[in-house]
Amino acid sequence: MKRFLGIALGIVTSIGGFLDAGSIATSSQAGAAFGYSLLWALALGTVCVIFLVEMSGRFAIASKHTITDAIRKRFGFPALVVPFALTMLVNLLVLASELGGVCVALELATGIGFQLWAIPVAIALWLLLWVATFDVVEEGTALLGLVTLCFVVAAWKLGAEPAELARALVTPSLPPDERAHYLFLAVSIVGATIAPYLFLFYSSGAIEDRWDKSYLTPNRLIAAGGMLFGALISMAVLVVAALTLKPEGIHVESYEQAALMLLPAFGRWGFWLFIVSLAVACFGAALELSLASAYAMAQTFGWNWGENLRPRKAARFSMAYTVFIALAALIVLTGLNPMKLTLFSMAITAVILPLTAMPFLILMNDRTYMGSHVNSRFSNIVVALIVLVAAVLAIVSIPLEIIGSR
Amino acid sequence: MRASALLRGRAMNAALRACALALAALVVGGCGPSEADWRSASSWSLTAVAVARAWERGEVPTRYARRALQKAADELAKGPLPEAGAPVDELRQALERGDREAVRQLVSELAAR
Amino acid sequence: MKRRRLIYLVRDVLDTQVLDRKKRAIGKVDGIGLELRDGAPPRVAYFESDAVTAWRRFGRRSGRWAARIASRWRGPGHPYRFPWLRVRELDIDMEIDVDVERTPAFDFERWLREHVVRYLPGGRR
Repeated sequence: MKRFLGIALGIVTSIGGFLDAGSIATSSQAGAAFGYSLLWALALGTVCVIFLVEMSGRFAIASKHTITDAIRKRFGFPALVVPFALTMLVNLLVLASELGGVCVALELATGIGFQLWAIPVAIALWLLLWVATFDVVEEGTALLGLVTLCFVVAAWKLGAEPAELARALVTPSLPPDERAHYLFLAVSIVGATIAPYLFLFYSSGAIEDRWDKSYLTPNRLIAAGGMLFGALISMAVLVVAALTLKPEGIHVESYEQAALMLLPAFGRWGFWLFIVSLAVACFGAALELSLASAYAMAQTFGWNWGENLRPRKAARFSMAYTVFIALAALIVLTGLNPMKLTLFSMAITAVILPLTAMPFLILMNDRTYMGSHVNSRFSNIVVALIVLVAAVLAIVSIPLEIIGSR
Repeated sequence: MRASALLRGRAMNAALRACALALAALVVGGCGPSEADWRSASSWSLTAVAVARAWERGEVPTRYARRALQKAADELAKGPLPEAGAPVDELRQALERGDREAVRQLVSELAAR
Repeated sequence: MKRRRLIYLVRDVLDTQVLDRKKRAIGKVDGIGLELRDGAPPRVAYFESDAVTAWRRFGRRSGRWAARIASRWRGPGHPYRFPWLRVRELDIDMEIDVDVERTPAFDFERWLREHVVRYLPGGRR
């Protein structure tokens, strides 16, 4: 019974924590501009992330290492430096996006410019990590994140046709015009869904919770269930945008426009539901991202790290996320359009994904780490294919998007 | 180790390729309003209409509507048809005054275009 | 330590996490020092846990940079080296028979604790 509750909690936490600035921005843009036709990108990203998260848990169980720790051990420090540095850079941009998302939500609610919120929100973020325990932080924000289920309710209220959705999920297509932008969005959706920090973080969590072999099946259930149902929320955002913004001819270039999407379904409540969803989803993601980056740093250089360690006991780890949050706040202060920043950092995520995913795949097939739990050829092919294709598409579409938006 | 050289090589290649493509694109791209600019302008006009209508129905607070219309006006002024920003600005002013009649009229004018 | 017949230095030792006797993290095995002997096979002289050593492996230039920064900021005792004798266990991580607080590897942690964390709210607990 206890195990069942644990699995349920794991799934619920994953669902509540799934949505973030990246998925909201990419899904709403995709729905408003192209209707249902980008759902296949979401499906692709979800399949890949389910595999990656399950593998991440299985890796921690079988090898008793976290992924970053094992990449350093298996490939050596010199090989880790470039992927690590790039991942840190991208993490910083994504953190700035998440921070920006919370600030924009506050701007929409109060009318006070988002830049002015950067420092207060950053301090709130930092303070929470500094004084609270990990469980409170993770589970608290994830449970609050369940408010994002309002998108699913909205999609249902607006009368989305399941048959049409199912068809769009499995048929990739290319529209007659705006191809570069379409491709760019497709790639950003994949980057938003397969956030590397997610599966790196997951292995750290599994080690912290001391998962043993008995957790192999629960891990599979949590990975599949959590990611699947979480992706449903992302899908709902796309569907709602497609049903409310596209018919009005409104493209989502800024969060102000996205804020309109829940009005038809909920009336006045819709405005506030959007704001709360945006704020909570982004805040939760920001917490997780800051921690994930600090974990990565500590595990690369061999520092002491741990969820519940008081800052005094893990000074380098604590200062790592402190500096990270401060830098992200600086980026938000520059006044860069948060939505543009989000979209680009999602696309760049897709570019560097292979740098982390490929070494990870190699580890998943190494018997000295995995024992008998090595990957099946199927898993290897699925992940390798999706990750490489996404990267190539990203490298091609980012420059095209830059020209297109001149 | 071979793996490290491989990874570094791949990263360098990808980065260089991306930079080359980006530079080429910027050079070739040139100036002048593109398709995307026209679509963006149209989208912002329609956004202004939608925001004003939502405000009329009492679905969004004035604070938000004001900022959203301001943003729309700014974006339109930057776009291929800067004159389109003026009516949206008028709309914003009417909204700030709380003048529902004027808002309704301006909205129907905008929507007609 | 468990008796083993064969230990692959690069695969099993290099870049392994080093823990102290209370299982607290010290660092990674950044380098291995071998003693070359005339008429006898080389022998492991010491293990080294030091950031400069790690950066030197990445490239000569980064090694020089790291050394320059280190020389300006660091106290004595670097690079931190320890012999086989100290190794208590070598499995997923390497456990050695020292107290991390006594190692120079802890300098940065201690410096941060005394000069930064202390002044932030709740940093004294």
